Amino acid sequence: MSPRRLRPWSSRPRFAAIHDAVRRTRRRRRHRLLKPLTPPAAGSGSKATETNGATCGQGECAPNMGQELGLEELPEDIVHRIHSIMPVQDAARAACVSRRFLHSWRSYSSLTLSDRTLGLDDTDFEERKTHLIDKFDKILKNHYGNGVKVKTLKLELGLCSDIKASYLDRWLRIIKSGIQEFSLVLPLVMNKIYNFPCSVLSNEAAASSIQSLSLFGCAFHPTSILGRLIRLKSLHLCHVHITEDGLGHLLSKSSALERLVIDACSGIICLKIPCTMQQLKFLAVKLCKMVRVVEIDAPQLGSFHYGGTPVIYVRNSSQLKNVDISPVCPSGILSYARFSLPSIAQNVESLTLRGRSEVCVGF
Amino acid sequence: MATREAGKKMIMLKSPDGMEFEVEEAVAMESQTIRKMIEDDCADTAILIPNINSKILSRVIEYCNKHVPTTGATGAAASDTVAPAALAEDLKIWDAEFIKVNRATRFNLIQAASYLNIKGLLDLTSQTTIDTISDNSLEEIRSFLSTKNDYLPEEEQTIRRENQWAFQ
Repeated sequence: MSPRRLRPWSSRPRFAAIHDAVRRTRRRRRHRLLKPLTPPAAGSGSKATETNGATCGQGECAPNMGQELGLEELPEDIVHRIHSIMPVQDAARAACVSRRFLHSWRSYSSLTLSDRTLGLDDTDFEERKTHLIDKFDKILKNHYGNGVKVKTLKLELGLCSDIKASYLDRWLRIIKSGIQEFSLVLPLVMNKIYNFPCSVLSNEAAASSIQSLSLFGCAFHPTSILGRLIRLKSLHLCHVHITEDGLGHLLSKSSALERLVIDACSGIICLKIPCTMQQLKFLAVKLCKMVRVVEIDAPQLGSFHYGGTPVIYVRNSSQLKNVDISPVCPSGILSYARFSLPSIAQNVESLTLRGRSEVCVGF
Repeated sequence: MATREAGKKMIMLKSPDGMEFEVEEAVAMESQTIRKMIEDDCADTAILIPNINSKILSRVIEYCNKHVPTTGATGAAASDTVAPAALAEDLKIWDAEFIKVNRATRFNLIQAASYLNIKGLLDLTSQTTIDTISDNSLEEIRSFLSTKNDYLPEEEQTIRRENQWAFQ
């Protein structure tokens, strides 16, 4: 407990005794509310400033605000917060500074791995590819080996056309319970070579925690082994080869989905958005050359963006307010709109049709 | 010290070293901790901020005063005619000047921002700390952060080996 001393302002006439008496009676409640988000760390020098004859408990009074305050005096959660927003390479270096940072590194849960975050964006192209894969491998191996629970995993490998599937499969083992956001970017050619393993999300614990999934440049063939993606709100597939059946399995497990973007994907001719997509509010389908028909039965869909001129059926369009169509072959966009879009017109407030020489916006 | 302005509710903030700061309620409510107290009707007209001395508290108030939304608040630097992008740029420049402080003050501001739950100030102070240590040697980082190497030699070797990739 700290030594007592008089509060400097206690002698001011402005704060008369009666005011202080009232304040003291409220002290307990107020201090409960004012308790720091975390108490100062042990040894943090809570050299308590005494107030008006009553002592403060630890965590309620002023830590040392002297000039020599260093990292040691900051509470654990603040150090962890600073560490957690460092780029991964700086965070790993900081882990070598002291045990406090090492402790924090063992729970560094947001891994964004790219040439930029790994300090390779200025290096020679060939050298960069080699170092990138090497660094990815070491980081993910260490994190996996140390049992770090990863919440965000972003792997940007757009340069690495010679990346081996065995490496990718090994890295993806780190996707477990607690994963919230996963993003994989591979070179375009990989969508004929690498099949994102459905088994990664067959584990119910991992499947039920993921909130955002983004795949670029791979094949993805979900089957019935896929776990229930009950928290998945955002799904972005870009340059992904996926079949109608595969997408059907994926959407059937994604009942909480709010945002779906299917961009330049192959393998789908008839795109069906089923009525089980009760939460879907935004749908964008762009540059999917094989798509001929789009059937939408998502009752809450508010915005639909399409690049192309398929036949579009919207069964339940009561909430559909914003439609944006950009045809691949833009000639005759107005006649296309007149004959092909009647089902969406029920409650649409904003319809944008983009042609090469004609942009029409209707309300 | 602030003076009362017509039509604006004022709150008195007190530091443990006895200073008082009269601020508009909207400015004080930039702190989520204080906002919750006010919304839960747990605040008196005067609120003791037990963890933050007057020097730091005055800087925190300065930050909140600058960052409080302009509509219905201080109107400090903005007007309806200024574009949001220009305002954001102005704030960015102001922040960069504001955070030109020594390490001890910055750490105190981090603590204050965390305790009072002021996200913008916490982000600014944390990011500045990160920027100061980026690309420095371990000894330099320890010096910047005023922290000691508490590893045993063999422990340090192990962790250095594990993270060797970060030094290449």
